[in-house]
Amino acid sequence: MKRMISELKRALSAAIIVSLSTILLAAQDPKPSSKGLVIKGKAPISKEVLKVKLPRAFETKLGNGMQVIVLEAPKLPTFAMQMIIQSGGLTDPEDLHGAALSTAASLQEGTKTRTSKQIAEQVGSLGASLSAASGLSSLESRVFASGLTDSFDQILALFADVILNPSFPADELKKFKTRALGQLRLQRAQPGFLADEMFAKVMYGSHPAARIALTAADIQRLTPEALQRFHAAHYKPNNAIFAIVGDVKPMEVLAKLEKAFGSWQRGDVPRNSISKVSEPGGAKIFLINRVPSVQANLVVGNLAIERSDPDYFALDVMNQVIGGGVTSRLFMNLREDKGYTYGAYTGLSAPRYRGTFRASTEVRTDATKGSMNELMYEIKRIRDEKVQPEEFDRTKRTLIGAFALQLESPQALLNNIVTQKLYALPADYWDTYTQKLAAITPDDVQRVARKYLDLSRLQIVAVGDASKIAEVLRQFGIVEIYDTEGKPVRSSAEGK
Amino acid sequence: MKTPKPLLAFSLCCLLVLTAGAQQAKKIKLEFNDMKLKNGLRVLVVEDHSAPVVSVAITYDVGSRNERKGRTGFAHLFEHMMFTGSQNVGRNEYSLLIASNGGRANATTNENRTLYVATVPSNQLDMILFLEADRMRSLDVTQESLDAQRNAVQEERRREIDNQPYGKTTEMFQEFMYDNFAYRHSVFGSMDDLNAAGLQDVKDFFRTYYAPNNAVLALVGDVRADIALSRIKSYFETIPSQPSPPTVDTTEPEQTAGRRFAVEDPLARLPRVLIGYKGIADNTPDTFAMQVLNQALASGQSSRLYQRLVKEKELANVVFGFTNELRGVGYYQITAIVAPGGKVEDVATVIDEEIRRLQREPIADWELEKAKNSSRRLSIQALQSSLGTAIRLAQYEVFYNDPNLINAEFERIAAVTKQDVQRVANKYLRETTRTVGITLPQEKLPTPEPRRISCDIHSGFSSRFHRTTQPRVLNFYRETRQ
Repeated sequence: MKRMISELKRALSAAIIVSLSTILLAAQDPKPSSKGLVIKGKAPISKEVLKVKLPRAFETKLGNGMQVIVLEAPKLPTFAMQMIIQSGGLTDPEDLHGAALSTAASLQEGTKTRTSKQIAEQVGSLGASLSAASGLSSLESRVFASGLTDSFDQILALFADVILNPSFPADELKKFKTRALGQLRLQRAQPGFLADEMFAKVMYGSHPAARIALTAADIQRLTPEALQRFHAAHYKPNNAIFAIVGDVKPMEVLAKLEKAFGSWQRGDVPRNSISKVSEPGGAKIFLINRVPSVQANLVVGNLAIERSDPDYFALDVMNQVIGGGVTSRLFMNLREDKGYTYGAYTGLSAPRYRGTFRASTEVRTDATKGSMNELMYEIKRIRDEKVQPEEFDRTKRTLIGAFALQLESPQALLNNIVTQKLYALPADYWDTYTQKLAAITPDDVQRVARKYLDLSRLQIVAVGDASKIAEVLRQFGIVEIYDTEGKPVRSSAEGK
Repeated sequence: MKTPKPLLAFSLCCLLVLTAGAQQAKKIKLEFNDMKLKNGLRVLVVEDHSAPVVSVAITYDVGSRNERKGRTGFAHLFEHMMFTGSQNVGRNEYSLLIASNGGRANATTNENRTLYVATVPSNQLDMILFLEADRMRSLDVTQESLDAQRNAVQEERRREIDNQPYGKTTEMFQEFMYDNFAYRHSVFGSMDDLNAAGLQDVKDFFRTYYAPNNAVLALVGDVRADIALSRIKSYFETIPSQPSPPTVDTTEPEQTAGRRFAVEDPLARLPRVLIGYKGIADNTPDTFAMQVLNQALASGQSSRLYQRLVKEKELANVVFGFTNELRGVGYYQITAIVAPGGKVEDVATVIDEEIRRLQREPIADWELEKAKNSSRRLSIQALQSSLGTAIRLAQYEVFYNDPNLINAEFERIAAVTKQDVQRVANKYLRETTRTVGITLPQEKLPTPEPRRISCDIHSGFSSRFHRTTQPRVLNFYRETRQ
């Protein structure tokens, strides 16, 4: 216990203070009542200023250029580490989609000294986790390992082995392809996947971000040599960030990293080139005919911004007003007032290329029209009407509160630090995060709503039974119909 | 009795005791305070000053197993009604106050219990206790709010079951396996029963099951235990207690013959096999031996079934196992999704072979090691979040009147021997207590309902067909923020 306290003090002494005063002190005025929301205002609310402190991480670099981040979290004798290779699916050669993803997924399938089965058994017997992943539209590949601190050395040895010495055995890649093809079939059975896939396609067109899953043809083209080439070109210490959180000491970790990764040779790495995203065409509706769906999955959205865009915070607040949570407008309207759905939310993605703002919900088939009306109403409303002060203040308090709750999760704090590095955000980004949110005004939100929620370019994706919802959707625009394989369905009335 | 009587006297001075014995792994013991209010509400409090938050878990001893015929799905529908207002809290004001004051909250229902959870900044202790006490004391329901939540719950059912591949077979599986109504119907319930639920049902259910004497409140967080206890007392102790709810009969007639069913599912693209072995009592040494068995057989990439079915033979795309520890009589379940080109029969044959091997030979040293290390890690990691700790404490108190089980989880796994694993493999994994549920993709479209078909996978099973039912965790809303 004594040890814990001294650890904690040390972490806090190097900490900064983020004040929530302006937000928490905002008055709890009586609120307007709507059908789904009634405020009696009798619950005791603390106006006390709660100060939160963000712990500082230890950061350094090995001689070969590998960046190291250590965040001490001594509450429990566990740790979680990751190696972030700053190359992902966006780096894939044009004729080899999935190179990054398959390379990451194959790291554990054999090394110079261990078979796939030996790796699985050794990880398993330590009660540890080891995994690796990349995405088709990702800029990174990541290897994760976690476990108990008393098996730190063994886990680090396995982690280093799969990163440095993968052998990409041909028979294992063959098996990986079979599993990937099966996975593809499972995904195509999910209405949510079909909606996401089509939405990415209509938002991004020929940009690599349009791809969210490999095609069967992509999978067939993969070879052990291609994975070897990707690994050799990109898995370099000067292209890597090592990050760890847990009951560990920075100096001890550093000494062990020198041993495990010190001889990893640096080298020139092909740069990620992110092509520019072009705006999709005019507003259109893309309907995927899935029979016998009993719901319609609806996704509507626009292209939004890159993470570094100065409009990020205003859009984040706008997102929370419309659909960030269970007290946001969409949830209150579509679920609590109208009873169309179990949930209705919006999401803002802001990667290093232009992300999207989207609203999504799953509604019973005969509520498709009503739901479309309400989705369109809420999008217009945030453009046309300034958010009233009470709703605006509580929305900001919600966002700032959610940020403060991360303090309970050291993993989330480490992820913030990694995000700041990967997105090249200012060093004080998280220290000033709440101030930046607090500075947003209702005028800012209306300005970005008008700028980004462009009704003339709004793209709508629906997954459902076309025989029941195609006519309804035509009342909202031009409808194109596709099958669940993503192929256009030709029929007399289906125009383009 | 004027003052609450501490049932267990633990030291308040520290939360976690870390002792590093020579050559021995670190052990962690959670210290907690335990008291019972005059109205029967049981309270557990843990000080945890690692972050400026406080978490509250309230577990009501009611789940779908308490439902009567004609009102399936009601426990879950009722859970939604707890957000629609009480005497001093307006409709959805609960959610609004939690969110806008920096917290998060949700609720969830399964067969065994209904759980309400919240995490708030520690300076909002009074707010969360006020909100929870007000809705335990009084409920303000209208036909309008009932209709709205009925709609939400029906869409939740469509989203999770009716519009999902394998949804209907998952639901049918448990109904097929159980003879006792308590577990032979799904948590979601039928659309007809949900439609039939009225305001009087809501009021009766509230009075019967949402009494302080039928609940446990666990609080974990950055607050002094004596302050937390006195605040809880002042908010909750005047809520009147109610007569004890009727006990649930979970007696399950002994199953004497294997059962199976097969369903054609127009939403599925690959066949799926569910295999269940009924008869495992919860919270017994056998429960823990079954956990070790599962680690060897069907947990993770190093498991026997993954290595043989997915890696070596490429017959399955997915395979995993778990014990559904229903109170009274639970079951062990294996799920396998058949790979493209694979056959259901071949997958079933390999599973049978591996089960026979567990019955014949002891598991390997490294497999026992895997089970113990995995369990030790899980029980330690579960203490990271204040809410996770509160949830487990409350559950152990509601189910077994023993919150200290939170400290015993790992030791009970550590006590399992290879012989225990072999013994439970022979005791429970028998063809006579088995239920097999097969989903086959339906190639010809469209048929609105999954069609039950006859399908000979294993000869010697008695077949029967039944109507639908069953899944596991239902929430007031799904989590959306990462």
